[in-house]
Amino acid sequence: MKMLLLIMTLFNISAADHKEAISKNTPKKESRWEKLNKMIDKEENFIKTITNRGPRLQWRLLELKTERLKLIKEKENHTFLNAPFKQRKKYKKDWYFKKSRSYEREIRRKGLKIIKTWPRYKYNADIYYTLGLNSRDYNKGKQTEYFFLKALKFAESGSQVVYLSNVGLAEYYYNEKKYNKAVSYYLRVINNTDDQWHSKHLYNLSWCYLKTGKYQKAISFGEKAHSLSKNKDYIDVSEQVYDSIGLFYVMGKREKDGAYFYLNHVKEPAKYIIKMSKKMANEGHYKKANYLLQTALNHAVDKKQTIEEITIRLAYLDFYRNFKKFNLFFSMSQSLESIYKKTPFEGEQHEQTIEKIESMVGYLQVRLTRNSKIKIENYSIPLLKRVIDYFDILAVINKDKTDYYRFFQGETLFAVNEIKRAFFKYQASLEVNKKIDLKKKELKYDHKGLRKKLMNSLLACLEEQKFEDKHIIYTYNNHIELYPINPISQKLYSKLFNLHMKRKEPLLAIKPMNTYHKNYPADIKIQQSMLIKLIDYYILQKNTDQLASWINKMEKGFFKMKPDYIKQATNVLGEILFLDYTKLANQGKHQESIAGNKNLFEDKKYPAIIHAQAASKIALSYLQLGDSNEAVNWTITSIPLYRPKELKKRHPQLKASIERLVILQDIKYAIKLSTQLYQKYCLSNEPLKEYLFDQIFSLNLVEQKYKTAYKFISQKALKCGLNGKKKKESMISFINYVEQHKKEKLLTSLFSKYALKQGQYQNELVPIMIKRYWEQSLSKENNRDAKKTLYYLEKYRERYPNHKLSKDIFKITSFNKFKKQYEKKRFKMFSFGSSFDEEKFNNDLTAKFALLKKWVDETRPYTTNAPYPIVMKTLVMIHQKHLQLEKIIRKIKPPGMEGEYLVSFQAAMKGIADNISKTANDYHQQGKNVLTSSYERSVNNEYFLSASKTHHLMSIEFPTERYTLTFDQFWGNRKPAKITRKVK
Amino acid sequence: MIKHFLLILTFVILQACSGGKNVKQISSRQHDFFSEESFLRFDNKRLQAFQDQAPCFSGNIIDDLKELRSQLDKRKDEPQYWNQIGTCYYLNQDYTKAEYYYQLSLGTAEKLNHTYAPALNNLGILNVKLGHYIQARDYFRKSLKGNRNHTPRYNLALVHLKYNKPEKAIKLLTRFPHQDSSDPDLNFNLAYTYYLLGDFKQCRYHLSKMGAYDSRSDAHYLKAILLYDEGKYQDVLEILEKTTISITEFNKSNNLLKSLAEKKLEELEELAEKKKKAPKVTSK
Repeated sequence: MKMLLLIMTLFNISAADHKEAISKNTPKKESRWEKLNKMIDKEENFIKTITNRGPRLQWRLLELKTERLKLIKEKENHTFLNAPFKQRKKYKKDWYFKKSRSYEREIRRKGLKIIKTWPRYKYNADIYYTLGLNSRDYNKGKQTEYFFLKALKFAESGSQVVYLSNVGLAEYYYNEKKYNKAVSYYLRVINNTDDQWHSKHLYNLSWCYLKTGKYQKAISFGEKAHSLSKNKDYIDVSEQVYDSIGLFYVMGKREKDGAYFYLNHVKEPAKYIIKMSKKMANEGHYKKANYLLQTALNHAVDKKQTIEEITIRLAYLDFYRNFKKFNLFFSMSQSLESIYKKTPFEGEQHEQTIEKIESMVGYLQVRLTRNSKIKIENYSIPLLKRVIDYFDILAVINKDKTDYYRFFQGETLFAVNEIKRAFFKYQASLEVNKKIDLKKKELKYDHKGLRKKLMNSLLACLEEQKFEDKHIIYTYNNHIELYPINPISQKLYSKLFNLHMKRKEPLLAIKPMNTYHKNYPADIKIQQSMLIKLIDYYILQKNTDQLASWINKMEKGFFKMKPDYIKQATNVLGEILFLDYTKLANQGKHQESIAGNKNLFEDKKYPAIIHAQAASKIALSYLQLGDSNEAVNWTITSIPLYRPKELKKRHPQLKASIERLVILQDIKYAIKLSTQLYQKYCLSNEPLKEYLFDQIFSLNLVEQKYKTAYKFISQKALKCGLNGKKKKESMISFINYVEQHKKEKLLTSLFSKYALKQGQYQNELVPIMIKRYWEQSLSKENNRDAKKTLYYLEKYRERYPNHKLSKDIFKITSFNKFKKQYEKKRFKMFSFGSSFDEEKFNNDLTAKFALLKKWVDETRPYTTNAPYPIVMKTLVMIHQKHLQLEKIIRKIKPPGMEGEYLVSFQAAMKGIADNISKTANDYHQQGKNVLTSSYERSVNNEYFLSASKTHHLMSIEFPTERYTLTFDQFWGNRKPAKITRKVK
Repeated sequence: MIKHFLLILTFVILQACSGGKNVKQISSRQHDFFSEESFLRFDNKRLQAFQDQAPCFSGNIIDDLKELRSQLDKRKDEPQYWNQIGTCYYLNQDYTKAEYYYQLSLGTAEKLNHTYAPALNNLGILNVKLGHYIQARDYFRKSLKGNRNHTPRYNLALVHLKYNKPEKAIKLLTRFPHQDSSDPDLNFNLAYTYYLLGDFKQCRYHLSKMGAYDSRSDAHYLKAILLYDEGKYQDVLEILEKTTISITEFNKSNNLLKSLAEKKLEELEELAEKKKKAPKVTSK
């Protein structure tokens, strides 16, 4: 019991789900259905209110239920048709109609109950008939025959129910394929000509006769049905007759009549005649079938019914195909092609035409190739031609698939090893294919797929046979264009590039190279080698425009070419560009060379390095022409155009230019160029900088631009990182140079600034000033200058008293003081008074000798370790002091002394004077010795010579510079022979 | 101001163009012992025969330097070429450039593995000009080394004279093969050296060989001083009066000598006057 309840519960849940599903699928607006249902409900409810209902009311209720059954069925149909596929599959059809079947059973029970309750009720036949119809329509006709026969049994003769029951039975037997029984009932039915369905009954009867093998009757009743269909009182079954009667004629072996029937009654009879023809053909009647088709074709042509004509010709295609009439099939295809050319047709006819011809060509291809795909030998050449021709026809008729047909042609030709012809077909196909916009969504055919196949086929052709370059290029080009990123294309880029290069078509080679790089940047090394090949070509061709263009690109990073290579290429470009102008320059045609190089310089298409080189070459030419100004200007122009490394490599040339300017005697331009370069390398550690420094410094000195040279080493070069050591060396050089060239004022200011104020360069400047002092002291004219120099030296000594050189200055100043005092010293004459006092005289003489000794002793510091002029002057002074004393002694004339005493006195004095003279001479000789052993200048040098004393007084300094001679002609190391020179 | 500057500049340029030309021009090759080595004493007439070999000596320094510049590529490896340029600058008193190109001449010779005596000599005279006699001496010695060229020998002797070394100078000056030359400068310097050495005979001899050039103030100085030492004061005055060619360096001493001679003459006259007035002394 519990189990039963469970099953019922589950059933209820399941049923509820289904109801919900049905309700969901029920149309929301069922106003008509509901209205009718309500009306039925209303009447039913009303009748049901009558408690004592007779057969009439019961029969009415049965009729109302039958009406409701219709509504139920209608609803079930709707539900069924709208049910999801899965649901329909799950529940099967019967499940959807179970309610109507159940209701039918209920009606049937109630109907049979009425008949049972009221067996003599006059409408029982009608009830049976209703039940028969319900059985037929709502319960698979299981009891249809029974109820219709019961209806006939209980109906009154001649009543409508009898006729309807006969129709029902005739149709029932017809449907049950009980044609003989159906014929008997239809023969009863057709007696009633008042029914509008009479024509239909006649048509059904004609079919019953056909099914029972009575073809002539079938034709006859078919024609009658067709004839009555023209009468508006009857249902028009003419179309059904047309569909069927052709068969009747064929079966009745009256195909010509059939053809005429159609030609006479149908405006477009082709389809019916074709149907007849097919039937005949199926039965193997080629001629009859051909006759029918020909008749129809003639008719269509006569009537200019193109569509009919096409239909017939299409039927012909099938016909010829069936009967293997391939030539006729081909002719018919050509006819269709002609029609299509004149009047392109569409739709089913178009599709059929294509399908049939495609089918035929497919068949022929198989025959031709025997299912082999390549290298077929011993094939039928006419058959090959036929296949190709068919594809041509198809290409006309089905333009959308033209690429395919050309491809198929190619495939066919390829299969029979006609590789070149195949290539051209593939090519034609590809050309068509390329015009198709593959992005379109409504494409009928897979053109994209075909494109790949085409490319493969074209490549296969190239592999099979040797083709002309243009075909190879065509294939490669298309492949890389259509499939830029593709493993095959990846290889083809370089192949295509190489092929173009082989054909000397560099401009065409560029495209694959660039596309290759765009799509395969990782293959950069291969692309670089391609570019190198291209550039090599341009080099070979001396195509400077292209070379320049590519160098510009490479410099901007194209193909990430190595700087060394770019440089190499640029060098080559330069060599080519400059070749002619360099030749001109070598021939001494510098102006022409300059003009050419200026053109290159101004041409913006060339890279900066070419401009730089052009400027350098112009500069060089100007240098050769001796136009230093232009040469320097152009060199300066070139400098910023070079890259640092390139400029560095030009350093030897730049050095050479500077040196050339110097030897051209244009030192100021050499300075200008050196200065410009030095500024460029101001803050770098470039070795050239040191060279430039030396040049600027030394050449400014040569140009006597001392202030500029000084400013350079003391200021400008410091800003450019001149180190202390170098600065010191330069300053010492500067000081020495200034001294060498006797720039007295500058030397004084240097001494004042550095040695005196800053305590710098003392070891250089102080000795120079001392030397200068002695030189100035040599002549009386320069005495003032000497004093001025000494003034500075004294100031120095005051400021730096402990400096070692101050001692040397001190020697000068102390000697000058000493000399001044010393020269004032004089021996006093002997004074005697009125008489000679011997003792007093002796004392006076002794004192004079003592004084002489003292004076000689005082000079000691100036005769040893003293400067040469001091030594010489000191020796002169000592000598002169001796001479003075000697003179005084010789002149002694004592008063009152006479006679022998006087003679002996004078002899004694003479002896003393001679001794002093001898000592004086010793000093003179000493001075002479110093003079001889030294190579020094002094105003006192002449004093110690053997020339006359008068000459000493002249103080002549021998004017060497007056007599020295230039040495202008060198004759070697031998004495030149006397030669006679020609006088110009 | 600018006008003034331009005027000075023009003057300087004019000076430069004619500058450096030795006033002691010698018109005849016979009197020029160094004619085969030095153009310095050539007069214009003689120079005409050596236009190519003696650039700048005629005074056209700017033009001749241009001409030399144009010969650069042909002659840049010749030491002589750079020596000529150096001398042009020397004559133009542009001593820094002169030194530079003389050095370049030496450098060029060095590349050819030899020394170039003229450039060394000329660096010597350059140093003489700048008062660096020791350097000058060294250059002349280098120029002389291994050869018997006259000019550096002569120049070296002149430097020795500057240092009051007549004994050294005479050794050099007497080694010339043509001591009997009538070259006025050579003879003067021989005379001067002999004078310093006290050999007045040789001094007079060489003064006598100066020929037409003996009216120069340098020669007259020596002659006058010799006369002065002999007490021929009137002759001193007479000879000094006859000086026609002035050598600046001797003018001052000549004037001094003249005044000394005049003074001596005055003294002599005074002495003579005294003698006239004094009573005659009768000897016993």
